[in-house]
Amino acid sequence: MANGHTETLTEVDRRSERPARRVRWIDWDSGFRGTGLAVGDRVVGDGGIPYTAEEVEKGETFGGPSESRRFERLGVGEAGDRLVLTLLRDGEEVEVEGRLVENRSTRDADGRRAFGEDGPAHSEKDGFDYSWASWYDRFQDLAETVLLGWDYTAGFDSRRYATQQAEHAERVAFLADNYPGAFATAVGDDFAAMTAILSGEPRELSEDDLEYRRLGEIRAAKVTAAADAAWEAFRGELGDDLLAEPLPLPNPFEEDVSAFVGKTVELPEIGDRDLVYETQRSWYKVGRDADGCYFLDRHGSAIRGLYAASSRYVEKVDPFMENRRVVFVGVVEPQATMVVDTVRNQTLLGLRVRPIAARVTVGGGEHRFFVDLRHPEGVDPGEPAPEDETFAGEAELLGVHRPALAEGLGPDGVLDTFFACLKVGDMETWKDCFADWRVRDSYYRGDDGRETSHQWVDRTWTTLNDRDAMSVWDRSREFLMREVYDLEVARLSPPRVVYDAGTQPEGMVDEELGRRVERVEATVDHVGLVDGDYRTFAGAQLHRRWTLERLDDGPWRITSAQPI
Amino acid sequence: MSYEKYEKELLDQLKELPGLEEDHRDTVRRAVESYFNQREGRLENLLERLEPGKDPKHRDWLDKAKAASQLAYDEFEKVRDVPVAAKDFLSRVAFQENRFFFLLAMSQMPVARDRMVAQTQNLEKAMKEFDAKWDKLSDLDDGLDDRLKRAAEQYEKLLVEAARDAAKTEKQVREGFAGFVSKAVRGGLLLVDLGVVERVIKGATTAITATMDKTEERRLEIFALLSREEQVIHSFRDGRHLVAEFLEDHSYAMVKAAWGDGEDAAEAFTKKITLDGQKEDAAEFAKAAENELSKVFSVAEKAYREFAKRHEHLFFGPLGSGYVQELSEIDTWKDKSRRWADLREDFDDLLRERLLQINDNDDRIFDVNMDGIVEADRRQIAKQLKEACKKLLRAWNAWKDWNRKDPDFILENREQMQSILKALR
Repeated sequence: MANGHTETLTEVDRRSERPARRVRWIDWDSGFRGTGLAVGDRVVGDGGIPYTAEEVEKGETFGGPSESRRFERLGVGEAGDRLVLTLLRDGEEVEVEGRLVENRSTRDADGRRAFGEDGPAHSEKDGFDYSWASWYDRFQDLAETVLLGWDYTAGFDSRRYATQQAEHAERVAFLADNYPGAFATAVGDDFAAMTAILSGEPRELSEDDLEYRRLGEIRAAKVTAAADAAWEAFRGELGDDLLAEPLPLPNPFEEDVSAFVGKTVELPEIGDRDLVYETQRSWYKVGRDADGCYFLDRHGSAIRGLYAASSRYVEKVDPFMENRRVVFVGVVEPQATMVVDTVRNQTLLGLRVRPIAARVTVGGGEHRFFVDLRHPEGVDPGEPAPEDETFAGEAELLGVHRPALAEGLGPDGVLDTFFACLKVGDMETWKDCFADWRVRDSYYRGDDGRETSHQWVDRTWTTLNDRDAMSVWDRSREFLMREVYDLEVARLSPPRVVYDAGTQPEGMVDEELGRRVERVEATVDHVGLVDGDYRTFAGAQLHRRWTLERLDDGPWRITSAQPI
Repeated sequence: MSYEKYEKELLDQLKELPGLEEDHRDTVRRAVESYFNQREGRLENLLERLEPGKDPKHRDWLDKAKAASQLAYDEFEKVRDVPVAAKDFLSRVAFQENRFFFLLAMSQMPVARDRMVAQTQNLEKAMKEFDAKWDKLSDLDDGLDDRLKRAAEQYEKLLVEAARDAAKTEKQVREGFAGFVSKAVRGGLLLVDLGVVERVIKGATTAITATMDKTEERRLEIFALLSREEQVIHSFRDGRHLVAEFLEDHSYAMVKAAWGDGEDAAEAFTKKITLDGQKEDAAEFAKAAENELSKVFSVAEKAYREFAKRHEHLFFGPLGSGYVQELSEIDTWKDKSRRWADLREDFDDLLRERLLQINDNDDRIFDVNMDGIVEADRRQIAKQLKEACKKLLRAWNAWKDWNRKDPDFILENREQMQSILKALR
């Protein structure tokens, strides 16, 4: 009797708490095809005997490189022998039974190696660009990745893989039509399974569900109206103090510029191209060399309010803020300034302007916001308090529809609130969804000289500092305005205790820091628009896995510092 | 460079590995050799990331090193149907090689390299920038100096003309009045015309007032030019301040520190490797890496030296005396000031107050003896000339007051400027 093989490939499953191997591939002629075994299954034993960690590591298991050693111990190993596998699916043990098969190669009538008696010869092209053997290698590569599912391969992108899969459709159909048999059936099954995985699940989203996508537009219109009113009022305040013609400006190193110094000027509109970067400084440049230039120090304290306002505008109104252009109003300072633009090879001469107001237009001029840069002494314009209005109309943006982070919410409720905050632009509540603790491990040498470890709860921890929060917030909002239409919690793992003061060594517990921390892992589905339908999908840059914890039965909070 | 020590060590171990059939041993040997061939390529590839260049390479280094750390696992996984002992052997090698490349991935060598590259580029950019600044400042200073000199020459010309006018007036008044007195003594006051003298005095008053106006214009122009020169000096000082800030991260010491960090990182990598053969390969790699880093340092050092050559004693370090002289031109203005002081003294001599001081009972008017003119006539003459003389005297006194300190203001300004520049030495 010939030796029996599983004709499968498994690998060590490092995510499993029990010793296990994960099914990477089932060959088309394997005796485990059609048994219910699937790529991605977690195998924890066979022949009724659970695997040991050593067996798993050495591959002395089903589908491992040394599976024959396992068979010897089980007393199987001949082609035709049956083998029962124990799988772990959603925490439950499941059994499937298959049979070992002979490792044999088949040849067609012309003596060429072939995919079984009914399948094509390896070297045959059948009018395609490359042979069936080459094609099947590519097909198998893709199938191995796709069939493992969305949560196995880092950066899994269902739409990209769907495009790659579509390239195989013609060949799969040809195979079914021209070589019906075991090989075509196996390929057809794999193709169908891939389609099921890649197409996601349909979702219904109503106009109301998508209302948040228009919030930006509504808010931008509100802020624009406030900007226009504030601009008029500001100009009215200036009255005749405004210098009628700030340009041309004579060369302040050679000519008399006293008529300009100390005057308030409204400068022509500039964009991001009007920046000059020197080695140690950078400037907004207004004017051309021929007409003289004004310079605004981009690192000066006077302008910092503009940055704070721009950040808030991105947070609350428009996450993209593209095609930004600015009109500055400021006071001309007496110091003549020389700026070297090494990129354009120019040495520019002009006067500095201390900005007192800025009107920013975005998106080609349709929307605007106004920033009053005059600040009372002692107020840092760069770090406004959350309640401060950084641009005209900001205070009116929040108040209604603000999501509440209610007490007693489960992990899924916290995540739902978290996503709702992103949709309506409520950054403050969003930030409150993050945990402010972290379970840490500490290694130390005990009195007996042995190394040991203990855990403790770090209450000084910040899951997301302000700077990172800004970037994570902006990125998430960008996704929500572009490819992601909705988010939903698909699965939650049961809570498990990750810190228990009772199990810590004596003298290593600070009761005030907390006695118990529980953790859950959540899987989040993203909903996108696929061929006109809303469906769940996985994107390379999207995060499906989230962890939440709670401290001493307190509220659940997010511990994953990542964009959606 | 070749990194064969660990491979050799492993192949020797393989020969001694018990319980292996020859064809299995051969399979493993081929796998090991194939892996080490690729490993050498990967190491060379990493070394290329340390070569001099313009782009940062750390991210690239991380990608390559991390990919290389998986290489052994991937390669040895292909080896099937060999006994467990062979598998164990290969697993151990894969683990050690994974660690080897992981340590390389974590190494700070490319970080130090990127820092030196950034320093080089910043130095090159700063050099261009400050070259342009100095050229412009120098041009501006020269242009302003030329204009200042022209204004000063015109100012001097006015001083000379004023002195000449004063001398002429003095002469005309005295001669005209002497003639008048002589005629009056001979024929009586009614027969002579005092208007000639009066017109001369009035003409002189007009002339000196006009000169004052012209001089005022020049003076204002000079003030304005001096103020522009102050802007130039201010910009120059600002440039020095910027360079001082810049050198906090780009001084020679900082460039050298980056290089030192790179060498330390190379050494640290070797130290962390524990297996003999692997350690020798690591040392070989570290040596090659240090060689590449020293090339990067040379480029950075050259950029620094070039920067220093152009800008030391100008934009940083003690300000060179040549630059102080160039910016302040104090010697020229010392000469001018001396000449103007001489002219002022000549002028003072001519503006003798007593010449124009007229009292009713004076026996000498305009230094002319009034003997022979009766008391009543003397009073009549004094009355007629007094008002015109008063006006002339007022104008001349104003001129004198104005000139007493004014011509020194350029020199004072220059001395002030020089003291600012000297403070930078």
